[in-house]
Amino acid sequence: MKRIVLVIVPLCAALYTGGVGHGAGDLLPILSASISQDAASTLQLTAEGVRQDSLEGNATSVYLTATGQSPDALLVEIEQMLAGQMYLSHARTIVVDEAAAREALVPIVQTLLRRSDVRLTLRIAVARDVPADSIVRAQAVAEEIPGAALGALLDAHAKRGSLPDLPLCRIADRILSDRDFSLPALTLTPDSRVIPAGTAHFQAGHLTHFSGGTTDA
Amino acid sequence: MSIHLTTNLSENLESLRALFAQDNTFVARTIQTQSGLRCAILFFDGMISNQAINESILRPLMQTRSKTLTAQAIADAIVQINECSLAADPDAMLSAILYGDTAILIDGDSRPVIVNTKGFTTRSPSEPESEKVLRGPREGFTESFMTNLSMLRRRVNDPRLTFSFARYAGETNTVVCVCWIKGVTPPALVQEMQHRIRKMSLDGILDSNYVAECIRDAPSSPFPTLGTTERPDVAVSRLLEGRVVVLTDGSPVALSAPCILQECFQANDDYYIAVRQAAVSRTLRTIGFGLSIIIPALYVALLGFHQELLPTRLLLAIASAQKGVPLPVFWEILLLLLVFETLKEAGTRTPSVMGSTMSIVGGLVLGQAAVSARFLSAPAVIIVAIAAVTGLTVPKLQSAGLVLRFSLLAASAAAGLYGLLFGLCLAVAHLCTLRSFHCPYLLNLIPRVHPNLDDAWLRAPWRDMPRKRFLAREEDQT
Amino acid sequence: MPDKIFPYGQGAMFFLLILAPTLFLSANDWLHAMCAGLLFVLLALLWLALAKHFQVRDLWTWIAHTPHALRQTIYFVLMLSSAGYAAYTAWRSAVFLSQTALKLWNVWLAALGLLIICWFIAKQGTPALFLWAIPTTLTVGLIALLSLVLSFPDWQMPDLSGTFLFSGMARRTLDGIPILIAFLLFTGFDPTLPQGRAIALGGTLGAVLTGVIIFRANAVLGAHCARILTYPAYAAAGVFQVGALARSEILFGSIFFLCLVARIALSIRVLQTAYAALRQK
Repeated sequence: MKRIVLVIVPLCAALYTGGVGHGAGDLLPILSASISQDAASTLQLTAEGVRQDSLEGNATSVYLTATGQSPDALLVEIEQMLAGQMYLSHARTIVVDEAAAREALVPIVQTLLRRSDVRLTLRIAVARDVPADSIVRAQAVAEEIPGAALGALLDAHAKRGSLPDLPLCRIADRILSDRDFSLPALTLTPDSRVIPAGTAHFQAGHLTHFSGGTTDA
Repeated sequence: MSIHLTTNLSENLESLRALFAQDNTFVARTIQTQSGLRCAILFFDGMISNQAINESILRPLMQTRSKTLTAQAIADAIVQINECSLAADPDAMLSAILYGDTAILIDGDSRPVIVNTKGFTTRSPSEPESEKVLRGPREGFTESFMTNLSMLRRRVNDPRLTFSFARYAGETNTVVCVCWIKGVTPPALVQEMQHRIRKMSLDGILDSNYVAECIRDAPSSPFPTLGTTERPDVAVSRLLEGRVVVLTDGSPVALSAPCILQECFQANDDYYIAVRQAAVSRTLRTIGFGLSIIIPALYVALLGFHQELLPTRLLLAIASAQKGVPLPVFWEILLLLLVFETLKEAGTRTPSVMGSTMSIVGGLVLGQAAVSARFLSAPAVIIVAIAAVTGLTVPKLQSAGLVLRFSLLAASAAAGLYGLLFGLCLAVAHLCTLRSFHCPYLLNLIPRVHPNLDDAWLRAPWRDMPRKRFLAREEDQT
Repeated sequence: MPDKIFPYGQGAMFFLLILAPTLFLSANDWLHAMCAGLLFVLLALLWLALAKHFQVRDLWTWIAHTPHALRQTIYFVLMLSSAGYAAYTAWRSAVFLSQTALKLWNVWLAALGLLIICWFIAKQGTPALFLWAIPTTLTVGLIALLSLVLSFPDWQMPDLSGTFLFSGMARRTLDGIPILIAFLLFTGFDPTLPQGRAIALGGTLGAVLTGVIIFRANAVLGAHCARILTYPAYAAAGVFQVGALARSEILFGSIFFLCLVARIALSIRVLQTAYAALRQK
């Protein structure tokens, strides 16, 4: 009797807990996002989620938009839209527009650091002369997923040294130590390709100016 | 059953016929010598060699002219055979004729003569199905006790090789033999083995596993604490390493003790093939066993708790494969593992003519149709297939692998990678406490004082192991 | 072959015990932790020298020779303190689990589960527990080294100002005293099994590795960023990327957890041993 109990109880516990955890399709991975700020200081978030409907099919991007007064509010709204399925662990890039870069970078970084699912290697780029969400929505050439292509572009340029190599943890370090820093600037070509557009310079966590021009991808 | 023998042959025959009244194989043949002396030979048909009885017993007896014959005289001078003696008592006589010997009773002497005339059919030594080798001897033990002993004796041409018998009372009266080499095997180990065998209390022994379950340490542990082998060369190598070997009459499986974890990862032909090849094989086996117990649990842990570890594309592919599958990941893997174990069991029981049909059905139904019908997902089938195949690399740890696979799966379903880790911690802690005949189970795998690490993880060349003793050196025995 | 606590096991256990708090240390404590660890090694060697001088086999044996009332008191205090320490460590570990990987788990349940698992490990006996520490140490050491090597290209020299304060060192030392006592209870003088070398090696490696791992957090994340994170050593372990494999802090975080399991199991072992001794007449 004791042996049967010793087998059945853990088995039932395992069956219960095994049914409780997530499956692979329960969460929507967010690969990239853009944050822009309008004249009324309202923030808008455009998040690129990726899904694949069949094993033989390709991955496709879906775009979700949320607005709010703070970065926390943006993420809360997206989470509510997805009923808790938002998954930022695979996010590689966040693109901010010039207005958000001037005024809202510090709260954005603080919000991202508070979340345990955000990668500390996440890259932040500044959209130069174009809306931020157009960078995120731009069609990729080498990759089918725009967010993956964007992340690969920034990583490659950072390795080559042609763009600043500053992941989220380093950005936070610079802000906390009151040091100046630079972030990559991106823009679109006339045929809507994403290309580097020099460097965005920051002082005390606020965008001051750009330098450098467009470079070949 | 017991009888009393007298000097009157007729009375003795009457008692014996009454004892075996309903047994048609019992033969009691009365003969008369040339001098008119009456004798009887007793045997069981089918157990004896007719030629031995006719030429070694009947002819010499019938031709003897001596007027007075005693049992001792018959044993010393009449019977022409290699093994002949007087029985100590009637029970010994009964036990002997039940095992294929022939008893001779003489009118005027109550002592029976026992003659070795065993002639029952035995299987010829062939390579054991479960212990095949690429290179090396291909003999295997059989159910015949003396044949097995002779195989050991042939390989150890040393007077120190000792066989000690014990016969079990009970319905089967089975002989269990403890084998060791004096001067190599520690005497305390031999005494311990003999003591445990003496303490056994079973009404019959049909296989060595009956003995194993009675004498092994930690009976509830899934890890084997007694070695088993069907190969005489392996049994001899264990004797030379300082172990003790137990042979059971009627069973082709020899037991050896102590058994340590290190030997479970050794294959029989590790020592017959080139060093590097053996080292690679052993490494693959070790890795294979690790994979087989960890991979299903790791899959469940990653998908359920740690999706950030998976590359994005892989995560998307798995997610798409799992779309429409009704079961959570843990239940899916659990079901597949159970089905695999069922298939393995069915494969063992299925007659070979049906085997190929069943494997096609199993493979097609599971591998193709279930995935196409979205009953299961392809990644889950792949994971279980990998676990199943790699688990077969270490046959001695099949039972342990089975228990660990399911336990770690449940642990990882509950707590992800941490659950898997805790499960492994508990398994290692259990191994640290296991002993086999007072010998630590992890001997030679974990450094203690002066580790004897030759041949522990990788096979050492023979020239570096002139005296291959698995037991640690003296200083470790404090 | 009688069961003994072998020096390799003692060295391994000491290594795990010193490395255990790495998960919870703040980023500016790397030098404090390393110095405290080395101080523990010195204290352990001092104890071994005293044990050799007074021929004390281990502290349990010494306690057994004290007067009855004192002996009972010592056992009782050991039981209470080890139970409290085990529970405290389990609670902290459970909080870490619920904040990182096991968000669905209740913290109390996680702590209880951890205590139960460690109870089973400790119940195998002291020699088995110390023997268990050997493969655990090898696993922890290998993975920690691998993590350090793989993350090395991302290191940048951090700002080291204000790194060492005596108050920080005192804090780290006081935090570790209970577990040091728990460890030393099982050590002493054995002429056949000299323990000094193994304990010195295990403890030194543990102390140095603790310091290097937390220093790595500063080097990879930046000193200021590392200081605001709750678990900087854990976070830093996941910063590097190898091919498509990223966010692997869970793999390296799990090794810290093994060290915590060792701590809790040793505390429980002290509890079990003291209880058994208390019950003996």
